[in-house]
Amino acid sequence: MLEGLPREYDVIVVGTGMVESILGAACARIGKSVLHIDVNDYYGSEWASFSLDALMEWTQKQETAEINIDPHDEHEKIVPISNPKDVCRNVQLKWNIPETKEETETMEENASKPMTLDVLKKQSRKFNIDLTPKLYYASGGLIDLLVQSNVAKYCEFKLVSRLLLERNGQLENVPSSRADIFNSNDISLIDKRLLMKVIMNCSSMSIDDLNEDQNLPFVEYLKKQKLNDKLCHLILNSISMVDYTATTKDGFIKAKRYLDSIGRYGNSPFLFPLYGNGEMTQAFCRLCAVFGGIQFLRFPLAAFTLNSSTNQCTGIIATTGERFHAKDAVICNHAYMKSISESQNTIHRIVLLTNQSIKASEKEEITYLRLSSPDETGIHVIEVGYGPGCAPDGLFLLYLFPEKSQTHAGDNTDKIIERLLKLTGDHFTRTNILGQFTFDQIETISLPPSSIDKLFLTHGPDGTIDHDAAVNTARNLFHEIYSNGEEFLARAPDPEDIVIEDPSNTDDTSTTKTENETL
Amino acid sequence: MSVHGQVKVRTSAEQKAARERERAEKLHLYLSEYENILTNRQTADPLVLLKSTENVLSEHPDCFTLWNVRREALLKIEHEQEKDLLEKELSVTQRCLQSNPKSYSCWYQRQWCLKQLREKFNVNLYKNELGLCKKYLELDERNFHCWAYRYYLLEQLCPPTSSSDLEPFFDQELEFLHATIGRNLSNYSAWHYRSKYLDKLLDHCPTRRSAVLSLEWELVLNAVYTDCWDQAAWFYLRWLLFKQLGSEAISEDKHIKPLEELDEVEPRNRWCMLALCQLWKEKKVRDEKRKCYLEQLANEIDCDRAQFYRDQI
Repeated sequence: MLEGLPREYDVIVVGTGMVESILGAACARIGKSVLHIDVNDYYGSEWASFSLDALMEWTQKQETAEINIDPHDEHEKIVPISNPKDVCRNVQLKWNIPETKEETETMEENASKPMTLDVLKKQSRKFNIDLTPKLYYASGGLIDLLVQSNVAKYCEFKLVSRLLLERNGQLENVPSSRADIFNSNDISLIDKRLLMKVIMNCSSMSIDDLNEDQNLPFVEYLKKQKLNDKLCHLILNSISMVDYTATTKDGFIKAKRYLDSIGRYGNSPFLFPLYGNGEMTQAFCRLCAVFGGIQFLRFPLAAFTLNSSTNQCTGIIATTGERFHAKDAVICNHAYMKSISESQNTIHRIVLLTNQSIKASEKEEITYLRLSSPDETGIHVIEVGYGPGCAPDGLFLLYLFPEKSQTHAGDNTDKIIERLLKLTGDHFTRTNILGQFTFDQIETISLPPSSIDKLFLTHGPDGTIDHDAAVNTARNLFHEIYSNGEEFLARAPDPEDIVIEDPSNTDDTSTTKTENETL
Repeated sequence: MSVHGQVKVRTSAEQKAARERERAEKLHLYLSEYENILTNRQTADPLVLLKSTENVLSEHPDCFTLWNVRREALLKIEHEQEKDLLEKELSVTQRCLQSNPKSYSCWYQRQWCLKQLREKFNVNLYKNELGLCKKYLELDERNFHCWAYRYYLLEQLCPPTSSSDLEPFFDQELEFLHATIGRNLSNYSAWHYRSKYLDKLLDHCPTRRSAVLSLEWELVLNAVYTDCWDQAAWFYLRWLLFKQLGSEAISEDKHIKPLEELDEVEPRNRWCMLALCQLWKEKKVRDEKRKCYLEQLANEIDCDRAQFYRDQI
């Protein structure tokens, strides 16, 4: 099946995760020949979204057989790959609902028909479950990149309509705009003024204006502005979204970004992609293909080829022995390297399938909640439902994950769920949780870069809420590979402006026809 | 798409030329149609004139002369057809408003139609118009044309018969204005119309005076504390204190003290300082401090209006 596939390329990209996909698109965009492969039969790697069936299939991992390939000559060295799915460990999927209707007949009669697994499976395609859920700051790195490169036309977004925080043992809305604060009955007049003052300062002051305060812990700076504990927590947790150990400088920068993002597309600073986060990787892969990149899923990859005398990566080799050469670079997701098995930093991700939102609302919402306290790292909670096309009507996906990876973390799933249930009260209880999917994602962002020339390793997701790390890595790697001032993802032209020459009129350049091409 | 990235794209010079060609065509079309209409203004059949002006106006809604032509045509038509045509006229203006929601001509035309329809007053029509206003205000809450038009509608809709209907009517409008202010404190139009309706309500129900003004004071105090730099709320505050409450009703405890506290938290805020100076003068207290503040305002804080402050010393 690999016959007919050219063997020579400028760049070979292994893996279709976020960083690799952005890079693949960027290289194709400047006219390089790109071969973009993935051993999986889906796009996205650890950033993929799945239908319910696909998720259940994914949880049944298969072992890959070791392939032994002999080097061509004494200069060639073969570096076998690891199974990239090993980057996710301890995968568990538990259901709290019966398999089929027959099993329910032995249970007591309920007022409503209980949900069964086979009913859910019939709606499998209405689910888009993210392995790595993220939100998008309206004034943030990825949205800016999407707009600048015009990749934005391949995707659609919805606003994250509801931002919550923990207050008085309940879930309440985050007051972050002037209108929110004006309408709040919970804050005294003086506190409203003090809060608005801090918010205005975060927006309008520059970092330099802070002077020595920059290195103070942010919580101390806020106390200096006469904010009480509750308001300090509001700013730290829900506007800056940093831990209590953060410096004023970090807190300020993040608060600024949050406040700048409000109003750009609506009354919330965050966007969520329609059909889930997996769409992002596909959007960039699409741009790569449009500019001539070759995309190949289910590629039978065995190993990388190295030139041992120059210590340069020269390409890849399939299980069938065919070799593919890359002139400029081989870009590879770190998950393919055997070295990740040494990493002990993991992000424990929880996905709950529920039949009730964590907080009542009259309309369809996308909800974000950040849980934290002075002595622990933040936990992100994202709830999506039918609105962004991630679940069937009436059902929800509830994502919970920590902001920072942990070493040797025990399974704290129940502890985190208990904490959330305390805040949701009677409205949302354990009986609303239909299914529970958890896994440990190895965090590769802190692993060292490759020591092999022309082999560029990309990392997987971290626990932060946004994509900035991925975008920055992609940009930096791009400039490392092509350091002669090439533009990173220049804007793709609009269809109306593309001129296609009539091949029979190649001498006469003054007559050109224009056609509408769908890019 | 062709070879790797080597796409031929129109240069900006070519794009500009294409745009110029398009504009020239549009202009030519407009001018010839316009000429045509004016030549036939007196002679052509009114219905024909209405059709041809409609086409031009939907793209260029601010052409006053063409609206005049339409009004002439509508007046020429006999009575039975008139009512339908006038109602249809409203939908024509709606289309034109889509290209320019702040077109003086369109809003004027709507009002003109309603005036013409006066004898055949239709409550549903007015209610529809109110709904339209709400929609336009959602799109742009500071569209003063829309606010003025809404005020005109409400004046017309105001229950003329029993005066017991008036009170809930005013309360309803005050609710609407409260929600609008809740969305955006800076909405000067909303505050302005709130003052008008408050006046009407208090004239109509004098017994509710102290309760209503008390709530109003809380509302405006909330507004100036939330954003002490927004002038809309301060204007309303001064109106409330001096035009509605009056000297006797102003209490040091309820009105002056909260503003003094605000002043402590936000020193050198010209609005707060001015309001305090005026309050202190009314109540004949803190004369020294008042003069000091007015000097500060004149010399340092708001020098552009120095004489205004000095006159008050």
